[in-house]
Amino acid sequence: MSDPLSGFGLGMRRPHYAHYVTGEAPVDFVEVISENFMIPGGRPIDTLSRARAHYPVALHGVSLSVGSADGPRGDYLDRHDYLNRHDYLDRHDYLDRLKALVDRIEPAAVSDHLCWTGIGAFNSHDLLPVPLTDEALDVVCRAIDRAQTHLKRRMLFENPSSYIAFPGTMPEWHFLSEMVRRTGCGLLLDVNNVFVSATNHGLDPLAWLDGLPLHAVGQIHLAGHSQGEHGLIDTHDAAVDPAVWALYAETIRRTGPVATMIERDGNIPELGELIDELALARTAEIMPV
Amino acid sequence: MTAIVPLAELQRRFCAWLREGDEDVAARLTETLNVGAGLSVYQNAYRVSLVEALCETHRRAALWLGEAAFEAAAARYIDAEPPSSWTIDAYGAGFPAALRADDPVAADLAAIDRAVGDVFVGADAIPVSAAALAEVDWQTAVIRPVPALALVPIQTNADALWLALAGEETVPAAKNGDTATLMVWRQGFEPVMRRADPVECAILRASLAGIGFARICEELADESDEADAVTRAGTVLGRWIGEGLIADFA
Repeated sequence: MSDPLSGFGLGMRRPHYAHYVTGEAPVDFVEVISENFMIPGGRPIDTLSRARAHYPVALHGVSLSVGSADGPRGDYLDRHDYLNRHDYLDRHDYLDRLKALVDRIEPAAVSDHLCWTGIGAFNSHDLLPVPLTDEALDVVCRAIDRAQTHLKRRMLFENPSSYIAFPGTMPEWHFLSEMVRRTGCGLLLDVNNVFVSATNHGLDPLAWLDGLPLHAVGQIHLAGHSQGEHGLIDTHDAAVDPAVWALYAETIRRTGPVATMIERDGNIPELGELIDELALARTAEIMPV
Repeated sequence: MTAIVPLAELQRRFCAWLREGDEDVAARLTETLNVGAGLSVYQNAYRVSLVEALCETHRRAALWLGEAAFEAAAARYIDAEPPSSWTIDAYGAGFPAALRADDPVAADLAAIDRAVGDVFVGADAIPVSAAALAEVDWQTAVIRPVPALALVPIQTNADALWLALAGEETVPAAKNGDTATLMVWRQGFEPVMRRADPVECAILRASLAGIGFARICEELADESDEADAVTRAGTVLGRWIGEGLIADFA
């Protein structure tokens, strides 16, 4: 297993692949979407392997679905015999494929989200909100235990952006603290998501931040958001907002140095522009608050 | 105070609303869960990501149909075939067939798009060279094609159209009834394709079914004379070796 993630990185996206396979991109690590490389072979795997020769890699998944009431993808086989065989095998395949990628790439971090993506034979491919109940906490912790056992390593789980609130539920920071305590997993702290969720729910982002299990933060995400009809939306298609930079500065004052990266998935600029933006993270400790 | 709904029930309702987008279902969900207006963010993200995934996978079909027609076809497909796989790349396996009734060319283009995408990420293999043939026991040998290989039946000249759309060349006139089977595979990391003649298709399908090369020659001889069958099979074999289509011999 490689060393823990550290320094400052970027999400490795297709327009910039050439800079990563040659090792010329001035970053300390790269992060990729795990599912894009959970494939049999071909150029994508070769590209990732070549980038891995130059950089530590973080694998960031979107499909584990720890919040599904019927278990994570890899758990599906054992408890749902009413599905047709094709779907049954397909879903059982997920953790095995992720494990194969982990064994091949030897990533510095493996992460996914506190979310669910579907139930039964349906998978929305969206990061859906978990109602933060005691029942859901049990479900999520069982799924994380299963995944960490299968992968034989600690995982990080990201706090989501939230656009709705369920009644009768606990605060997200309390849910995440319990999740970390019970499973030993780490937290992938998405500072933009804290800002988006707190703003959408009319809460103070700093108070939200202070409630989180900051001792367990193993990686930090930064990203841009946009204004939607009913609130802020985590779109990853713009530069990091100044208010998020300020929240990031507060974050690392509390956590100390943590591996930090910018996610950019839309309106992707030239690599140099992202490198310049990442330089702000390097100096965030001295940002005025 | 609204009662907490059991997680499985809540998720079933949420998914039903995502799939159906029915305002009555949304109203019931909102009333039951008191979740508010932000719910529409998820409905929008669900449909947008699936349309984008279908477009990404079926790029030439999208070019052929144009944005509005493609999005309308995608919307109909999403309503009819909700996604189930853990990977969004698998979504749309039935999309080419769904296009056929309205536009056979679009259906063939979509099938080629899909095959090219599958082959692009197919399992790696180092093809055998001509030198390896000297070691083969032809009485027992079974041809094993490279794993990243797809056979695509088409009913139009979509292969010519696909190449023209890919290369920004002048797109030829569409032609229905131009039935063929395409072989799509990879040379290095690059997908390639060409039409397969009927003998090639027969040899390939038989080989994939585990039938030995000697028996394939015998079956070909039943349709013509033996010397001609061996010549034809040998010609195909030589061509495949040159094109990097054979992984090894069992």
